[in-house]
Amino acid sequence: MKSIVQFDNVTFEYVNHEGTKKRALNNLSLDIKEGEFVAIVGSNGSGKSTLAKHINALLLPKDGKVLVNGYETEDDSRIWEIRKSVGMVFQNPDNQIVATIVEEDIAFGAENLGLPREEIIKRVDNSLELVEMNKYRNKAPHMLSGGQKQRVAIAGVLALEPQVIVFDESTAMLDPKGRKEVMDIAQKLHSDNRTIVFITHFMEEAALADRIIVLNEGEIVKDGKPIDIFNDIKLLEELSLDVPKSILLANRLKNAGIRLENVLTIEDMAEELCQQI
Amino acid sequence: MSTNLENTSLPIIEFNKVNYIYMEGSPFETVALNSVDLSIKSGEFLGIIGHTGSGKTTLVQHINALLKPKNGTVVVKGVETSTEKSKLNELRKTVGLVFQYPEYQLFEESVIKDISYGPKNLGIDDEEISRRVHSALEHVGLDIDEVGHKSPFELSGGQKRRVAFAGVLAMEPDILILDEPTAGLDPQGRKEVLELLKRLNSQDNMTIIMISHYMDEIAYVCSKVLVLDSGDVVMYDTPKEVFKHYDKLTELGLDVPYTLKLAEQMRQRGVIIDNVPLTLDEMYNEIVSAKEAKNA
Amino acid sequence: MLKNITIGQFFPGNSVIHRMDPRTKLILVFAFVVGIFLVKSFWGYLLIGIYILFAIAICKIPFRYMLKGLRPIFIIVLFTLVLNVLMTPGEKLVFEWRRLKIYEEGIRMGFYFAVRLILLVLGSQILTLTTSPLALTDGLETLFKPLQRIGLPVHELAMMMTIALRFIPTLLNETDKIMKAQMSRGADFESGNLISRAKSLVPVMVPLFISAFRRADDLALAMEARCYRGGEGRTRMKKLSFTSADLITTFVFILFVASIVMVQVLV
Repeated sequence: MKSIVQFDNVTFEYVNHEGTKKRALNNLSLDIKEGEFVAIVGSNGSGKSTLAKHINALLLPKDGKVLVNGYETEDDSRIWEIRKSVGMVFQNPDNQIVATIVEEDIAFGAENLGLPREEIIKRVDNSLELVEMNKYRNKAPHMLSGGQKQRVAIAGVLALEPQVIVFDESTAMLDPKGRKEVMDIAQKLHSDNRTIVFITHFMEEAALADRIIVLNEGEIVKDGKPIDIFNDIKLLEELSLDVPKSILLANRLKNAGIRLENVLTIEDMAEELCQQI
Repeated sequence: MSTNLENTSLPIIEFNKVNYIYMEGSPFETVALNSVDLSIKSGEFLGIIGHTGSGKTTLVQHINALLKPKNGTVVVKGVETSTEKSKLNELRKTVGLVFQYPEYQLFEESVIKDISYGPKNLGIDDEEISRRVHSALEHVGLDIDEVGHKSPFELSGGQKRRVAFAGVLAMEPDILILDEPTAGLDPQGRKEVLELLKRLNSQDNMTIIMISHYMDEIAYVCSKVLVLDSGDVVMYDTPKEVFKHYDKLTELGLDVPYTLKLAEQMRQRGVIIDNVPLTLDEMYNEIVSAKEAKNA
Repeated sequence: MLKNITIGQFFPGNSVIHRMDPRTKLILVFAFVVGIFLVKSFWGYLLIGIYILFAIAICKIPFRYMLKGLRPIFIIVLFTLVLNVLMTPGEKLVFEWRRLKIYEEGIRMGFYFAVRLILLVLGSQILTLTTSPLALTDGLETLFKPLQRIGLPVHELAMMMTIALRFIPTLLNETDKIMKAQMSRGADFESGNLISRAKSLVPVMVPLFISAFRRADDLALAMEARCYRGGEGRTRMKKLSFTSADLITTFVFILFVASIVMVQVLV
């Protein structure tokens, strides 16, 4: 499979309130293949958001390089190309919506590209359809719920027809219903062959990915399949990350002679448990 | 908390047939609370759950008289909330209310000054204010020497939230209401907040009311759970009793604690878990006994 | 509660005036405002008054809404009236008491000033009540576009206006929340003199400003991520176009103007 996003020994520094230099990313290398669903987890301050913003050139590395589709993010002439291919959904649902009515906001990105009217209208219609917000196309954003606002934000990103969509803690400020709405769309988009980079600290969301990357202090400490990551209870606890309850329970049940293999979802866990009882 | 004490203590908060209507007379008129009756005992740790728009925030705002009922009465520590202003100041002393994302309300030049804002408004003298600021910072686990003179805006998100909590704790309320106190926090942050609330409830005997969407948290700390649906009280009982009703809660669009979701999935596959396990320990025991029962 | 305040008091409807292109309305209102100052006769003002009432009837907006708009300027109108009546010198003395002298010219001046103000407000109200803030911004942006060639940042100004309109309800909501939070900490926004009340608002204004700046930061990032780079090369989904409604209304407007000119000349 083709690599679509590459980090090559990337370092990023910033100066904090006290004037000390901090490394948000430390010599980080990463390779994301086209069509992957990658979750990036880590506690606050691990560098997740900084990493995300390097993918669409909102931030540029101090050392090393970031490549999208083979183009370097530092290449001024390619920056709009890159931002077209990499869409980003941010954390705060309100602070992404720029227009006074929903369909105008979704058109915003397509308008920025200078597309002809008919094309813009087509993309707006398609995007609204995909996120199931057609009923709300003429509504004002402040009348929508958090989950609905994020769906509008996603549609706004989709109007640029990106290959990669980065969700930068997009569910952090939502209630469970809203979170499910966003997760469902992320999965839908993935099955539509888009590359998804999902940044979160909710383990049940990371569980849906093909691959989880664990970040700590700007470095990748583990990179693998969800089941492998979750089983490393020691690491998760060390980093103050949530260990999925199924894993904790399965671990304890070993003492009672109950060995469980596949416990990624509750259904899987129940299935195996019932077979063993 | 022994049941005997519960039986003899008088309710600290009472709702009597409370109605509240938003935007009355307009085309957007909504009934937020529908003849709500409620009796909360002192020292209770109450969890309020319900879908967005069910009336949770409206209800708690009646307790510190930010909202007054259209019909019915709300009585807090014997004071009816619809009384004159002077009595309301007493109420503000008794009831502390922490809104969602309280760190967005910080405004002072320093952490100490911000925490002092509440007590100052209550007319407390400087020495006492200082004592309270120290105490509040200790409660939330912040070092006064480290952060006291810093601007709140220099702190991390988690620290800011703790400062916001401290600001309300410094008013030394008898009743503490929190609207989604763990929203937006990472797992470590959530754990710390819950432990703080547990301590306040068990050691300082604070009556705590917590609105939350995290059922596992509710199951972990609460002694009573109130379920709201479109302004109606649907259930008001202990966590075990409330979470028993898996179907009803799912119907209302609500989540249930992990252990009960697992129990339901097992039930669908033929293995019945009788008791209502709320913690992983309880679940472990249930599974082990179920296995032993089958083997026997 | 605050969620439902419509800005500029836009009152949705389907009248001919509602359906007009915002540019036409802007141009006509501008012409109207200029025209008012050129009218100097009683009959002229009377005719304008009748036409305004006619327009109000057509746009089907309840008269009480129009009167609401006059409330804020009531004091100014009264003040202008009284000032002119008392201070204008002239020849025909109408009333005298001690040193107070009221002349016929004064009464006429006062009356005309007051009427002009009222007609101005009513006329512009017809614009703001029948045109959504978004349409107004679009109309202004399109009208002023040619000025971009001489360096006026028309697109940027229009973008600023749209964003401001988008965030007003959100910020009002936030203000409400912040006030409630501070009230829960014992804040009192109602008692005390003007100075203490102003001071009590600091715990509301500071977080609000900080939040607004943070929003602006976030929004700028989100806009850039969606390839925003200013007005150059941008296309628009919505296109403003003139319809028969515009044609008819402009025609009628010209007739009105003609009739007023005639009245001024003949009477």
